[in-house]
Amino acid sequence: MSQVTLYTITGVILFFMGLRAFLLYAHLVRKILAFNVMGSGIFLLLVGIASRVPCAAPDPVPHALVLTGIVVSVSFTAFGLVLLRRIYAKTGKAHITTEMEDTDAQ
Amino acid sequence: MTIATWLSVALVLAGAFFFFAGTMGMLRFPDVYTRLHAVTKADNLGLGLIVAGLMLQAESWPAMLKLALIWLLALLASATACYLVGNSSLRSGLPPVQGRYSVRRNPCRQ
Amino acid sequence: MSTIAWLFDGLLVAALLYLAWSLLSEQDLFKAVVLFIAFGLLMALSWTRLQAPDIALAEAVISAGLSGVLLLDAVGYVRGEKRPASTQSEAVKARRIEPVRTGLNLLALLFCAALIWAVLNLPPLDSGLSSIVQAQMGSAGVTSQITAVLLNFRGYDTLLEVAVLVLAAIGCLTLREADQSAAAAHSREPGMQVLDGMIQLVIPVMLLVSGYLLWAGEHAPGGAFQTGAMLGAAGFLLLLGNRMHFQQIPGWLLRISASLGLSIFLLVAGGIAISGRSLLEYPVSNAGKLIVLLETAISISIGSILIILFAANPPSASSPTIDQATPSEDTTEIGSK
Repeated sequence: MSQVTLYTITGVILFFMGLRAFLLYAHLVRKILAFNVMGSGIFLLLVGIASRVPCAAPDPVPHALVLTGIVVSVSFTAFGLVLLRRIYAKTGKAHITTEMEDTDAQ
Repeated sequence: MTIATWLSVALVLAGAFFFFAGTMGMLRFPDVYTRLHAVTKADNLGLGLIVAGLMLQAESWPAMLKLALIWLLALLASATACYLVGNSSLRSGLPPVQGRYSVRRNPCRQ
Repeated sequence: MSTIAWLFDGLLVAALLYLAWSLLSEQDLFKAVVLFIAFGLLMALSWTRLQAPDIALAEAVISAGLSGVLLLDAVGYVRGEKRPASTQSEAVKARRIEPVRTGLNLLALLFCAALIWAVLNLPPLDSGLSSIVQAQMGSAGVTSQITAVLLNFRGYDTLLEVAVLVLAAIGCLTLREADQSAAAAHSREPGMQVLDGMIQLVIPVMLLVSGYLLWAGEHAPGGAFQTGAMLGAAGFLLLLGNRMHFQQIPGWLLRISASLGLSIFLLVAGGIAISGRSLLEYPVSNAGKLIVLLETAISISIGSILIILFAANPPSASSPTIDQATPSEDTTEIGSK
């Protein structure tokens, strides 16, 4: 097992850690944090696969994909936080509840 | 191994020691202000020593100057951050721990 | 030497996993976000170890810096959340959540083990697409392989990604709260001179480094995304230091710069399509110039969009007071009220 495989396996473990936390916790900020950790895990997996080429320089295509992915992930983090602020401003709660509430009352 | 390499190794090890000392201080000091003191001063000195060690291994003058620029920027950012954290803590009313403080008598810290 | 490399990688991986576990299970949100910033920095180290300096640059600025700021501001915003008293007792809650949690852990472990087994049994080393990329580098117009892939060979992906960013900016502009006039007239707090001085010193350097990264993207790690992230970070710094208020930016300037990347990219794609070539196939003699044009437009766009994303998530206007009774905490889990 090479060192690159170590990082790839770490990426897999990070993804599942993030997925478990995303499903388990009700607070929206924790969900966004978990989503970011999941993203980091997938990026590690992609770059780990990119490094498995016989020549010295790694495969640049997955690197480009990961670069795109990082920028997209910050944009959805920001958008998710705007939605969070909206939810908090309307309902006073920042976590998922099991009750239905009537928030459209004017 | 030339003189430059030995000197680099010595400087980097000294820098690592200062980082270790700063982290020890951060873990053992009682409140925000003393921890800031430890982390900012020791870590920046450690970074300067590591950068000095790496500068001896740089391959050209521009690379050396870029490394020195890295240290200066890190110094600037770290000093400002330290000041802001201390200032906001003071303004929020966090009282500094006064008097003598013995780690042996307060072994359990968060 | 190899044992030292293994030791370093092993420590880095262990630190990554430990940090991720801590930040995900931490109930104090502020601590979780600070751990996330540290996690981003260690990820940048991992990218360097995996020979991906472009990604390391982007991760350090974006994930550790910009995401961290956004999350911290959000944590400050939801700080005063009132937790209603639960209608069920602790024992009932625990009994309801336990099977769900065990099932989830089991499933996660199972799939994780399956995927690790798949990773360990990947097909033998294959050159993938790197041989094809290297063969085509002559017609790319730039010397850096990643820039060639991003803006020439896979330009379509970058076009769609810029479109996603513009959509996120539109969403944030539409959904954000109205600017608080009190926050706009937020008087300077005493003691901000240090921050002012630092901003005066650092912003010119940041702009210079952005320009350098844009130019260096042709032959070295750098390029449009890193430049855009640096410009965004400079914008964050100005907004945080109260040197610039979002309302002061003229609306037309904001809109033009945010849509510049997408518009120019679409114009270039349209021009190429009109001249009869396939999608985004640059003429070889002009490939270099087109890439420079696109990179400049995209970096300006990304910088403005990041500023918009930050303005939609502003820090709270009031300064915090130490209140040990209500830190931002969360102990709720799915399935419990």
